Amino acid sequence: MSSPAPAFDPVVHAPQRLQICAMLARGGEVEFGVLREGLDVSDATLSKHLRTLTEAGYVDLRRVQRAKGQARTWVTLTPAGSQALRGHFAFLQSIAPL
Amino acid sequence: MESHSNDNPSSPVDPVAALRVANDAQARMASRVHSPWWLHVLRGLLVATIVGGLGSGADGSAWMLLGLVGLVALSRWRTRQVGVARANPERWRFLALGAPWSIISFVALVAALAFVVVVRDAPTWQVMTAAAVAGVLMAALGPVADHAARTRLSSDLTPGAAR
Repeated sequence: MSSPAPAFDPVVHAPQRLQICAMLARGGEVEFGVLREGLDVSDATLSKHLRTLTEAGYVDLRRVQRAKGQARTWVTLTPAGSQALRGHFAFLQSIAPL
Repeated sequence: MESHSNDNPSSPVDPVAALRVANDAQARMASRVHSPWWLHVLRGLLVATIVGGLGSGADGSAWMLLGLVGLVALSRWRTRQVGVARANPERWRFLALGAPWSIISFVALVAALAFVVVVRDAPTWQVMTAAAVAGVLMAALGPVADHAARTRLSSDLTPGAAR
């Protein structure tokens, strides 16, 4: 991971979206249920955050239909999302007290 | 469970708190990368089946196929259970996450396969030994590879932190 320029990102900054991006940055492709449990939020709340991140171009959603009819959604961080997260982390680090 | 959405981007910036919640979320996700003991044993047996099947010539092709199908099915099942597809989007990322243990297992598997292919008509005991060594290594190193993956998944994301 190269050193990115510090940049405050209002989309990433919201605490729950920051957690989503952090989990995706490390986990690669993460299932919707794992994110929901990790954040301890409802489906609707997580969906709202994912919609915001998707509209910003920061995450991609992949829906997988299972044989029993239940679908699962897998979420990945896009290159733009990864760059925004790294820039935001750099920003946070730059203003954090030593 | 929080049913409300805490998404106010204009809230004051507390870098310490923000970095802490991000790290906590990573740690919670990392704790999921934990497989039951029988999964590692089964994976070792399937690997041994593949190596043994390959070393048994034409008679072992059915065993090799069984091992391959079983290994793929087991990996897919585990990915669904864990909910973190470590192979995506970087295809070989699961090796890096479990390094060095997953790499050692992988090399042992390749070496065992190469041995039974190169040393044609090897005595049965040699083929079985190669299969057993690869299987035991795979089973034994699975839990430590998972532990390494958990450590990496929960590691600090801030620039300059250890990867």
